[in-house]
Amino acid sequence: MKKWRTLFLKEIKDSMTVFSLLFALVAGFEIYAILNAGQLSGMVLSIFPLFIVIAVMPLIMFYLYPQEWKSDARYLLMSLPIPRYEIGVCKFLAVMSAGSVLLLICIVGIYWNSSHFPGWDSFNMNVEITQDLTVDKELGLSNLFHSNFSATGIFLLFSTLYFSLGFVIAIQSVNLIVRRFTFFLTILSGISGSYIYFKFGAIFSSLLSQSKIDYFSLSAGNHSLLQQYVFSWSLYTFLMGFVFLGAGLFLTEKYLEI
Amino acid sequence: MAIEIENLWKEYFGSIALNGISLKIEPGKVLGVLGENGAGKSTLFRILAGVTRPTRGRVTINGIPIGKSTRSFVSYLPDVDPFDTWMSVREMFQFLAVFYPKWDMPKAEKLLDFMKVDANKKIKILSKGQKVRLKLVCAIAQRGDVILMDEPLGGIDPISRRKVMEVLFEEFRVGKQTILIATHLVEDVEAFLDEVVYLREGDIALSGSTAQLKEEHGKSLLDLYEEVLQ
Repeated sequence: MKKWRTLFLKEIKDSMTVFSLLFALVAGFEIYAILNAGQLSGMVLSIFPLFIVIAVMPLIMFYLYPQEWKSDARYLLMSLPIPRYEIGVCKFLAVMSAGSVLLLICIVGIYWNSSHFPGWDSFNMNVEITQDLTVDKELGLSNLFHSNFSATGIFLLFSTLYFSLGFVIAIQSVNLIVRRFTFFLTILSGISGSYIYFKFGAIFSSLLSQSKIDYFSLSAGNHSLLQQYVFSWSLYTFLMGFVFLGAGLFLTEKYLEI
Repeated sequence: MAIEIENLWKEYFGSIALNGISLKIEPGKVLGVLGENGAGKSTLFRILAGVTRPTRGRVTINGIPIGKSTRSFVSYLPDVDPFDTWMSVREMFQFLAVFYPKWDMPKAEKLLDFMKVDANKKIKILSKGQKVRLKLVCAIAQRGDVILMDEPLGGIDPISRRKVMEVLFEEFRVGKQTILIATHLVEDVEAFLDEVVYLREGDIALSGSTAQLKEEHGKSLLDLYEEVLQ
């Protein structure tokens, strides 16, 4: 466990500057949004950082994962008496943890703003929020707890982050182990991965939506068909993230060498 | 620990780095691996360190095939700076201590003092020579049963080289460590070598004990180096 912790902390410290900048950016947006709660600008500004997090974290992973394997530091890393997949897992966990913290900040910001935005009951950016309009509009924590972020929406955000990082690790692993036609094969693996994801996603989603599963949700309201659909896609995305992550780590463990 | 190499091949896209070499190294010996650039020295060390896979052949240390388990008792000093430069020297020691159960922190600190490297300095601000010395300290403090040193003296000034080697071998060597040294600086290590292997284009051109080779050929290892490799 100590080895895992040491590797994890090393990865966090390694990217501390980028994580800190992102944290400042996202927190800045959300604080500004909270100060403008009740206005449309506040609501929009509270949602905007979500897109930054979802877009930027895979890019960080894209840079971070091969960075050490391609530098001279790989000599030290690869000669450590541990399986190489553990190093990959720690890199994944470091970025996933940072991304999760940032997502939570966004969710709190959106949660707060939605509870202060008159007439707000949902917004259609895959994050479903329900609003009890009878709640008084005074500032305070009580308002925060009257609004409900649906579990489906939160699950979608985290599964998207999880999937994107796993996907990046898979294609970067191809990039690292292939010595010839590297660029071509990396692009090809990315296209193939995307094809597999969407091809099976439609089947999985329709199968799950037709079933009689009582969907898990923290929100007290009724579950719409859309919510069921989003949930099934989120679950599928999470599972595929696991598959891609596993494939990437397997390739790293089995074939990576200097 | 004994190292056994049987019919070891390494190919990179048709280019042969190691051409089916076989070698047996007895425990506690100091072996010099000498050869020109591209002779296969670094490839051999990388395979022994478990960071490169052989194309064919069998390599064992004390009967154990190279892999995760052998990496725990092999100290590997590559010919590049393998450090994360944002760490301080002390942070690097603490990092390595987690992974190597026999890591000797007092010895590392003592050796660092001798090498005149400040433990609180960030690695990125160390000079090239200091980084080389730090690599040596890390390799020794791991107390591996096998130590692989790939060009350990490159970047150290000529006056200090002999002194550094003396201290490493006479004061800090533990028990029967098997040590392999790949270098071009034959004169600086000659006195410490029990056995020598001359590699040429992935093949073993000549090998034997240092005393035997000197006696048979009537030449120093450096003169033999020039003769064999030409």
